[in-house]
Amino acid sequence: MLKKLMLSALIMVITLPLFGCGVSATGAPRTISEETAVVSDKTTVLTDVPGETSIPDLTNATNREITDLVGRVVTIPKDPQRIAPMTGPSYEMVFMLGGQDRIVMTKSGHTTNYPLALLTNPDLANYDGIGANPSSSVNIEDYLKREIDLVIYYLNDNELEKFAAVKIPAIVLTLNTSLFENIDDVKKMTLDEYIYNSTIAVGTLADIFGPDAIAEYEVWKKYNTEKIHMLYDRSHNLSDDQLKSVYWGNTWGENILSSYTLMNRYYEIRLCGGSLVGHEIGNGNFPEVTTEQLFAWDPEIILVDNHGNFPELVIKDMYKEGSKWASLQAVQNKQLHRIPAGIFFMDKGTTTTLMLVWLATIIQPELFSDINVIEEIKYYYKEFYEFELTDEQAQKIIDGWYERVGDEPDL
Amino acid sequence: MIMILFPISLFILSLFLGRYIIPANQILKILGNKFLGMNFDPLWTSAAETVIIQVRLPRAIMAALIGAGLSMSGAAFQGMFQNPLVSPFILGVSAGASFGAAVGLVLELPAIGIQALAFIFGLLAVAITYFLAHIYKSTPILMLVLSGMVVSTFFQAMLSLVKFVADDEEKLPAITFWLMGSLGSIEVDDLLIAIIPIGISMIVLFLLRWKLNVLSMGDRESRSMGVNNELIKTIIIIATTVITSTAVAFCGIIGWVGQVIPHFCRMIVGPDHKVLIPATMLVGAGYLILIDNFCRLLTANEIPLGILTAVVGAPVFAFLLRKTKGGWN
Repeated sequence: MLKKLMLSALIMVITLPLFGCGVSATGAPRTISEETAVVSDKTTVLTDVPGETSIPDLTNATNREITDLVGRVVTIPKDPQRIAPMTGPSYEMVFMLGGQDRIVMTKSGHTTNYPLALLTNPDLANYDGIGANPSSSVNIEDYLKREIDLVIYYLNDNELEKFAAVKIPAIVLTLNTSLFENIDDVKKMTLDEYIYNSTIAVGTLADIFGPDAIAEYEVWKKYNTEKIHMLYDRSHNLSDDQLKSVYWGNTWGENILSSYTLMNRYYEIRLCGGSLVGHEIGNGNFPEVTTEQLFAWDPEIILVDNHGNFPELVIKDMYKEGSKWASLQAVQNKQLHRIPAGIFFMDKGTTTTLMLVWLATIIQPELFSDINVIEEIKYYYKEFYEFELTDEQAQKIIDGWYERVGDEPDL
Repeated sequence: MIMILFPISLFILSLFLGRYIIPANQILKILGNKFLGMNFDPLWTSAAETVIIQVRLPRAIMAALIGAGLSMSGAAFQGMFQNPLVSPFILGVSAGASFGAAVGLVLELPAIGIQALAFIFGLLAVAITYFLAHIYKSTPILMLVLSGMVVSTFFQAMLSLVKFVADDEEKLPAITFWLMGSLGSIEVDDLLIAIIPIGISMIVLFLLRWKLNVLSMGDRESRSMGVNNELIKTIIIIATTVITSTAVAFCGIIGWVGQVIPHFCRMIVGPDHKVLIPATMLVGAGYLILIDNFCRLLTANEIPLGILTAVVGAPVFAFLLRKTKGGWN
């Protein structure tokens, strides 16, 4: 107990300078410029533990305040024991930090659709599962009757208000999507800012779970930082001619033309030695590029997201003889790649950096020829999930080990 | 002559316009080799040939086909209902087809399954409308309109229910995007399937254009002239339903074409359906090719066709209403 108190006190003292940075005076979401001073301070590992905005009463109080990733100050229990990770990546994040015993309820899709999630945590099948999506309506009684003391939820003001009304703490661990207004903002991001943005969610969660989770987070963050620096060191001097053009499609619906707001992945693709085509396409609820535009881009590599329906069929259709896509160089060179999936989709949650390592070997195989992706994945699972993968299982992850059973979406 | 040249010139132009840059001489050679048996050296890329033969050509033909079909359907219904505000969707076909497609999307059916469900529910909706309206061995126009409203409302509610239960991240965007209409996914195979029902139905409407003049005088007058108006009405309803159901199944909801084009053509050629039906066919074909060109050319994103047809159609229709002062005879 004393050790725990001392560690908490240490965190409190060291993170004191962060308090003015985590949220603006008006409570507005964090911005890159506001955070720059923080992320450049890497002298002490624990300064990177985000979350707290006020000094907790370590002796008597049962609650404390944290700031979530969109700048909301939320009062949560000091040691939440009945949590509901309802967003897509949040179960995997909780599991990686060793918090699975605290889970009372999660997204129903997560209890069925990921064979590896069930292998690594057989209890997962027994968790209560209910549907949840960014704009679905919360039935607050589902949470009340299970006495949930912390919900990880989407940025949906109306639904978050429902939790607030019944005093169930609900936090958002998704970076505000309006962080970058245009592609120039993305291009201006420094490496430290990227690392900060890509690790803050796990750091905040670790801070909530306490010292053991913080220790796990530190190891994980060190791994991430090293890998991201490795990617950067090898790729940042590539000339424009050396960058491979990459398109990322199949993010909803059932064809390769449905796409993310494409600038979201620009920085990561560049880290891997690629250039994301279509990054100039701005926001929009349902961006779908034209067929001809894809031919005009003629990307060297096409990534097939798991979020759209039938990723395996999309790839099969594009490869089939006589397909209209046959003249795309990515099809001719067999460069269609489904995003890997294990405990969750590998581009989300704690595994984004692992996905980037895989992606780098796809985009610039010569530059990253020393990386054995199978071994890299096995290492990650052993180190962070304490699970020994076989080579076959690691290969299944690369192939996208995701078997949707129900209708529940998985974002 | 201008009406004939309008769709033809736009059709040819659309083969030369696109975001994938192909020199005009190459386009001509690709078409020459493919369709005229010429033997130009294929100095172009295979992607260029794919874009012309598998992307632009089927898309332009489908746009022409659907534009012509919807416009003819609109003209036929406006004549039959004796009302220039009527659209081909008045009997509930779009609501039924939308529901069918939404069900297909939620069930994760492949494209052909979604199209089949949209087509079947489009036909079903109109069949229900027809039988609801059929009283005393006849189907009065007023009953048809009111039954159409009932059926549309029902299927719109069912569509809302499907959207409510659909997940927000994949299915709902897919349903919403589908409902906005698009020719972006049209392939040669789609064209080969769609051209048969639409083509046959268009021929039927073309052949019945004489009878439409009689029907447009009203039930009592047409009967007094010895026309079996029940049979003619039924055939017209079937033909227009097949056209609109097929169009909705392959391209989603493309509104306003069937309202604006007949009205516009009536201003030019008058209300005589002998002339009006062919005129709407030609102008409708050209109009939808033109709008679709904007959809695929303005940005790298596919702009939903239904948005542009509404954005252009509504003000044009308002202008035409003011200009004709609501009259149409």
